[in-house]
Amino acid sequence: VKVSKFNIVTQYEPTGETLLFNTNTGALVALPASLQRDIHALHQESVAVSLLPEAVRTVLADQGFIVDEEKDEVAEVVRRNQLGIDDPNRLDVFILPNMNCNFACPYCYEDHRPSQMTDDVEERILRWFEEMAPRFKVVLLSWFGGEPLLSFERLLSIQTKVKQICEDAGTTFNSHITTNGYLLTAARAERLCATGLLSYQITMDGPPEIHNERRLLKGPGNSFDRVFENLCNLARTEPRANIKLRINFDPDTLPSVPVLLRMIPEELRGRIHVVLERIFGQGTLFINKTMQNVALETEECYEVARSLGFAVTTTPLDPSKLTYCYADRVSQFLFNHDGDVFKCTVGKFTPQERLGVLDEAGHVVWDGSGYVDWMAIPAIDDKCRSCTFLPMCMGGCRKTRHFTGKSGDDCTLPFAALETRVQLRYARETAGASIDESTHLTLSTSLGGIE
Amino acid sequence: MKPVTATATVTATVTPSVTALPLTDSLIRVVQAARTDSELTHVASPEATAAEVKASTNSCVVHLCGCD
Repeated sequence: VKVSKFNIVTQYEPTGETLLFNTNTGALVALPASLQRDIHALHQESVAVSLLPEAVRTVLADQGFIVDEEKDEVAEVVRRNQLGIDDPNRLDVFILPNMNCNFACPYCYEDHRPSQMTDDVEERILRWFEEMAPRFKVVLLSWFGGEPLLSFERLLSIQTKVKQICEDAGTTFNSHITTNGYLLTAARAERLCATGLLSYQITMDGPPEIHNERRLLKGPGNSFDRVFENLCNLARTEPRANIKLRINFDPDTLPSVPVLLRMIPEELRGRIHVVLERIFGQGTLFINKTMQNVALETEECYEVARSLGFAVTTTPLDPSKLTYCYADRVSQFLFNHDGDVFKCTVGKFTPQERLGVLDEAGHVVWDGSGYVDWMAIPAIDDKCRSCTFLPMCMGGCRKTRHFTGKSGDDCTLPFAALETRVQLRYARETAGASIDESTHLTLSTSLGGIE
Repeated sequence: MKPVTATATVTATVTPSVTALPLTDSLIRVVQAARTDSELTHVASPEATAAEVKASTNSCVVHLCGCD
């Protein structure tokens, strides 16, 4: 037997226990302080596995921390990833009913322009669904933009018809919308929920003084009050809705996140999942902070969110993700308002960048070899094969690799605080269902307060 | 995630070969049990039910990137 290449070893200071986490199996065990030297020696290859007491070896083998000598763990992950890429059970579809927006967020990567989907494109999309939906167990329809609620009636029309197509085909239907929330009034939310649109991601970037600077309205006025009201109304009135509060942050705004969270009425917090996301493409803003510090501060914010009663949506502490991103999947498509077809939701969606187009008959016609080239990019490259985080990451961004030929330089950022997350997970386990703020702060003593 | 909590009591006697690595405590706590490869890939397998597949899509609709 040999030590798994996917082990993370960390000390749990409050008890002196050694925590072992395996990124390939999701196993987490706490070993008594007396075994600390054994475990560290084992991972430094200064002691053989066979020298451990048999009972210890048994537990470590059962949980995947030691594996058969001939086992190729990376090959197992690559195989798992391929099953995710080829997943025959689900059809993932993004629809952008416009490429317009009522916001002018300074960090946005899109080029907004007046645009709406025509009846003709809607009909092509519906023909495509009629052919595709019966082939899958589940259809996941995600609304994106632009701001999708600027096309409210179009959205309702397609949503209602695709739901019916799925019902007729015996296919389970699920749907999601990513929205800035400004137009998500109670009346609209009621109509959307009635069509089965029950998953919402609404973005607020902080308390009013932060949010209104980052989430600018194109017209006069500020967006905070109305988005906040719509978010709270949704949580209050639609018990079936799965609500994610997305908070885009940079080093300046991260400390203000708890202020926003505390503004949300306590009775609504359990209905809202908090998602923190570093502002995309602005890595240079973090030049004065190490990736480790950014990750730790993010984890600290999540702990505050938990302590305030929110659900938290972060990368699970297990290897349940089969692909890095939806755009890795063969059966994933993005339809722009003009019928152009893409894979990734990050782009300017120009005709020059498209991979294909929906024709009159509702068939996707690929342009040249674009789609084939996209899918041919190896999901897992040499750099990934030696990475401890591979089973939880699944290879990183395909688009980045497509344009640069390699994973991003900061590709391990999502895992920079993994040891801390393991410790916090254990702290929650031993402390009960929740962990209070004082407990988690003792685990992050290297950090200044974020409040 | 499979939040399993279990304990395994280690009753092994310390052998002379590991006396330099003393074993005096006896509790290994399994906080989160290992998931097998077939458990992890079940959702993409022919055996997966629509309800299981739908549940998996509920947990992965968050956009990992973008400025939305």
